[in-house]
Amino acid sequence: MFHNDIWDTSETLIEAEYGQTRHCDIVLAESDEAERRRLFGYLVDAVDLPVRCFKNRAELVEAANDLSNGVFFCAERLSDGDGLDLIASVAERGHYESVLISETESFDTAVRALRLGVTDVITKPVSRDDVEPVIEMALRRCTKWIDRNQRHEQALGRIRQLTPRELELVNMLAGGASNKDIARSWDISVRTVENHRANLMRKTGAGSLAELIQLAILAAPEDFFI
Amino acid sequence: MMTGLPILDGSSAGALASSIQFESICVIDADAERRRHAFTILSAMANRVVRCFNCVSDFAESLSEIDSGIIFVGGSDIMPIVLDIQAVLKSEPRYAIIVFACEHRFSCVVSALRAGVADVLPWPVAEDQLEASISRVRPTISQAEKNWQIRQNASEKLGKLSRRETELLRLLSEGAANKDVANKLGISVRTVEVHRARLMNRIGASSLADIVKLAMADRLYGRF
Repeated sequence: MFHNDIWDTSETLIEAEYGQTRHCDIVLAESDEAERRRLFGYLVDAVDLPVRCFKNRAELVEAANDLSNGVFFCAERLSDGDGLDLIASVAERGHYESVLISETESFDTAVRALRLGVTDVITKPVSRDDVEPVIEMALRRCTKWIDRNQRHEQALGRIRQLTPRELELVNMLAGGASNKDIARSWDISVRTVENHRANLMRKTGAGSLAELIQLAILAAPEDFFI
Repeated sequence: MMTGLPILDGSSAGALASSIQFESICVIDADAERRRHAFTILSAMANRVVRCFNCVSDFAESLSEIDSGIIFVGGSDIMPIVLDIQAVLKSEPRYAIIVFACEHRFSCVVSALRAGVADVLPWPVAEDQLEASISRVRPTISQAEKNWQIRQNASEKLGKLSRRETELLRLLSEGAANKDVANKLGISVRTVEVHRARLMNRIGASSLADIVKLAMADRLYGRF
């Protein structure tokens, strides 16, 4: 009866709306083969998600179009570049919680990592015990971000199909206007407003006025709160 | 002890800001020399009120007078101080902590990063480094401050509600009609109307939109 799917971020819903599941992956960039294999093993054991390995910057850059959201483990030094530079460019591609694998334990590198907003820094040789809590926290942060972002995107997607006139109607309704207020302001009959409103609900798939208002807020929260 | 004027070492007044920016700046450091040095650079940099404290408990006493802002912390064993400050702030995220690292140790930076410190500056620090650091953390603070205000506002209103009214708010914000609420709570539609009118009155809502907005404030601007 009070069916309201906006907060329902279960994968079935998202799948139904977008034909795909929530995408979150683990990415690893490490040039040292033995280290890469070991870390890959730990990661695969720790989480039930795809883990993608890259042996250097060039390999990862080539696959950059597939990047979306997830956790990125990156060695401080790659055979063809600097790890923190790579973390910075991956951050431009999607939302990644990054973990720097430090080799030198240098103060300056750690400060740079902090300023880049990395989730954590771990030191070589990395042990299984290092990896588990880090991946757990990084994934928690990442899924939280994805959930929020997805709600926003989903609301935007539904709102975007509207005509400018309908958008204005949504804004008035979300601003607390009644059908009568709108009829007066647009100089049309209440009956016509009701028609517009019914169309609006059908187009956005909102089951109630409350849900329509939720959509409007989710699509542009800063218009309502800030 | 606090006079509302910027103070140095609890007594001598520092530069009085002609235009106070939204952020207050505090320095917490047990070392008087470093404290004075930081104070001099920070207060010369811009028209800002800079407050210095010898220890975290002095800072805690003045906390009610300090809005959102930046807290600089110096010392050789910095992490216990940072954790004390965070306990005092009850991890309100509208403060950014910036650490002066006297010993340039890797492990110190990693602990700071894990504790959510906004920046680490190697001591001794130059004016341009301080300025750059402040500009780096400023967007985060102003965002956190906005979120905090929205949350405060919402929780103030929500705090006035009885359990029944809170439940009603939730149901209405999820799209339930008065009839649905009546069925769900086993009361008459007329009673729901009365409750609804009282609820709207209490939270100062003039429409369903205000109810939905209040219900969503916490979900959207709750802490990460």
